[in-house]
Amino acid sequence: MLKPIITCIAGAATALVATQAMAEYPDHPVTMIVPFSAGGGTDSDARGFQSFFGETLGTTIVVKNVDGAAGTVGAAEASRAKPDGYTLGFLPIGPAVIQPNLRDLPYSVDSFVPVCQINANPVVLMTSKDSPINTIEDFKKTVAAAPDKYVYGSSGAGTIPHLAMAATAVSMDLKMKHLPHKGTADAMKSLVGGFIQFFADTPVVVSRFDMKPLAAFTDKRIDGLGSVPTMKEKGYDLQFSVWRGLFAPKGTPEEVLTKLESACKKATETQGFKDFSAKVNNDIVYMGRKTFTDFVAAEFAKNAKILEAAGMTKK
Amino acid sequence: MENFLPGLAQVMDLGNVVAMFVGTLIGIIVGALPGLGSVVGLTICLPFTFSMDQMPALSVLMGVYCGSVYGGSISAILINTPGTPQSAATCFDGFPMAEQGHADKALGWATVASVAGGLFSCVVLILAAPQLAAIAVKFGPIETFALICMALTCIASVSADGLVKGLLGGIIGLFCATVGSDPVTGDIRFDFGIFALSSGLDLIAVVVGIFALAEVFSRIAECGRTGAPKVHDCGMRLPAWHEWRSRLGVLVKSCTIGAVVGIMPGTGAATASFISYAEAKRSSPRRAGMGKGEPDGIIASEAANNAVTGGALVPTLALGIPGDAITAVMMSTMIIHGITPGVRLMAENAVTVYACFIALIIINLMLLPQGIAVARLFARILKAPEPLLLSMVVVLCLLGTWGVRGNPFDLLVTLSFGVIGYFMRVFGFPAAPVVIGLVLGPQLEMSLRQGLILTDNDFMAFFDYPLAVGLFVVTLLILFLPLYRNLWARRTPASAPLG
Repeated sequence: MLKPIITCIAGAATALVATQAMAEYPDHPVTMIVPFSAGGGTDSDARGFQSFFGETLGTTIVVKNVDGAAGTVGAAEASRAKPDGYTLGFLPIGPAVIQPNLRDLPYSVDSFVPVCQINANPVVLMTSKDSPINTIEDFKKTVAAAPDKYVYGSSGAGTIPHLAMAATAVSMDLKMKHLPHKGTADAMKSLVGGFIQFFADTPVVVSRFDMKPLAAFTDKRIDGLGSVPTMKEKGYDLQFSVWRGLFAPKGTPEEVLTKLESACKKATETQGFKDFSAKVNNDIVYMGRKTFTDFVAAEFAKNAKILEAAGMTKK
Repeated sequence: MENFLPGLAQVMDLGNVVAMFVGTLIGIIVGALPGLGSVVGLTICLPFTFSMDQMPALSVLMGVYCGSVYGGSISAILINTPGTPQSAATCFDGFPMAEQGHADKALGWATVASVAGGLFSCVVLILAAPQLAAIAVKFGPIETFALICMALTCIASVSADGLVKGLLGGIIGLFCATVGSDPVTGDIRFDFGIFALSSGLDLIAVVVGIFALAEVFSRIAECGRTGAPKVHDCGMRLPAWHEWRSRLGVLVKSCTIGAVVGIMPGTGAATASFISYAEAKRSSPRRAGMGKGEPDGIIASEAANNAVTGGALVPTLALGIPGDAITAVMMSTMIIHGITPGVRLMAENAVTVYACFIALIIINLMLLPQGIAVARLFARILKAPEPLLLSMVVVLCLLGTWGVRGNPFDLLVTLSFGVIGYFMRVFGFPAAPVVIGLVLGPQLEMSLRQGLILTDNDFMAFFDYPLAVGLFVVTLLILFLPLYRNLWARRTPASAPLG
């Protein structure tokens, strides 16, 4: 109840201020749209970032949760916002570069200006601790011997856990069944219960649910999982990460973008945000505007290819 | 024991007691206000918990959780509008009882049943969390499907006056649940090219529309005809022991159903109260009166939905797998406070876990005095002039609906379902089956399709799963026992049993 009220007040303030001549940016609170409901992973991440980003930007940040349709409703709202720097999208990889590949949306990847990447977590292929499969070679051999017998889970169609496994199946020429779930925790229940055998997600899932990691979808070995080989080492060029970043609507003025970028950089460097990220097991990986823009374009193109190979292109 | 005392010390800290008290109170009030459900209650409190210590933060959230599940019954009984979807089944008997002038007693039954359900589930949680969690994970998509089928039989139980209308309502509810993204392929269905529909029809928006707004509309329509509405003089009257004695069986059964459904991840309090109501309607010796103001109906619904609270925390704490949407929010709060729910929680944070157990018991005990106070407060609010009261309800409904997802489209959904709900009343369609269909629809579809993926699209293979077969058999019993009883009663009219 409180949030809508705050948003209303913020909205009213915006309307009032907008009629005056634009003063130095930012002169009133900035709304950061989170495209998922309060209490989820993206939301708690955004709220952790909120206060530090507000300090470095010199204004109050208001988090607005707009949930629905895999984050696309919120992303659409962010893309439609007035490009004045007072409405930003705090978007993870899904609504930013995967969903626009899957279906027609009122926005596309070009509707945004990427401002900065805030964090990125690598993805690991895992199985249950008591599984006889211990290496990625075991994995390939076992699954190849029994086509369509083994089942991998995901946190929903078109999510990174799904794409990572789909891409693995394509590049190793394996046939597996895909069982989508409502989220990571739900899929973990199925893994512990033996309904699925494989899952791909961030390292924190490995430790939280006591799983056996088989390979990392990275180019370098992951800190803390030094004994786990990368897919690249094993000859498969498969790289996946779950990242989140700040996006502004297209047409946001250059000087505002510059301010946002530098405030974002400083916020990711504060001790407070570092402590917060360590607590929730997020790796801070800052990327500036230019790098992040190129990265987003590359991710968009890469996921388009994987989705096509998995038979999930736009209809 | 070595964890119990430090845990108790953490809980009994003054700041923490205040946190539990305030959390529970906020929960009850939020739960009782139509439109503001448990999840909204938690999200209101969430930002404040970030600056708190670990234990008070968890206490506030547990208080809000338990309080809101109970609070929904207050408005269900007093204004025929479940404050939360979990209390939808409480309307069936709670409101008729209030109409007969026994609102105080209905609230008393609801409160005692809620406290009993909550405490029962605490005991279950404390005694057997890890063992139960281990069993719960064996409960796969096919068993979940069977369980949801069982919950769907509640549609038949609540539409005794017009089975066809009830079933139609259920089907409409199930259909509404399919709007939006396909849970398996992610494709968008039934959006008619409207982007806003791609996020589906929000449950809260529909519940608020079909119950609360429809109630408001029909009261407006009746205003001229019936004059001033009945204002029930109420506070709360707790039921006496002799009234309880014969109903203990219903209570224990409902608590058990609630706790078991809570433990199975992915269902939730609404499902539990529907199953429990259907079961009471089947087996209670007083089933003939159910739907007309029989305390058994209130007990079945409220004991079961509160028993879910502790049950849903079993997989959350023991495995890191949240039992429902609400425990999922709580879990992410725990992680922010540096506690990682999951297999290692008990080893790494044993004191915190015990402190949570103790806090949960105290919170459930707090429901009783706070419930009495809030019920008095609400009774007073209900005495406000009707136009004022109705406009207040409308404002709260719309604010609450918008607060859930921040999506303005949901307001349109609420208004449309308010109009639909009004006409359903006019034509004698019960509203509850629509909600039951909508609540259970997504779970039914997800579990059915997951099951079909596992069995290579062979539905008959579902009958290879013994637990699922057991649940199917019980479902058939619930469905056909009333028919059989009717036949029996017709054949032997002299010794016709009541019912």
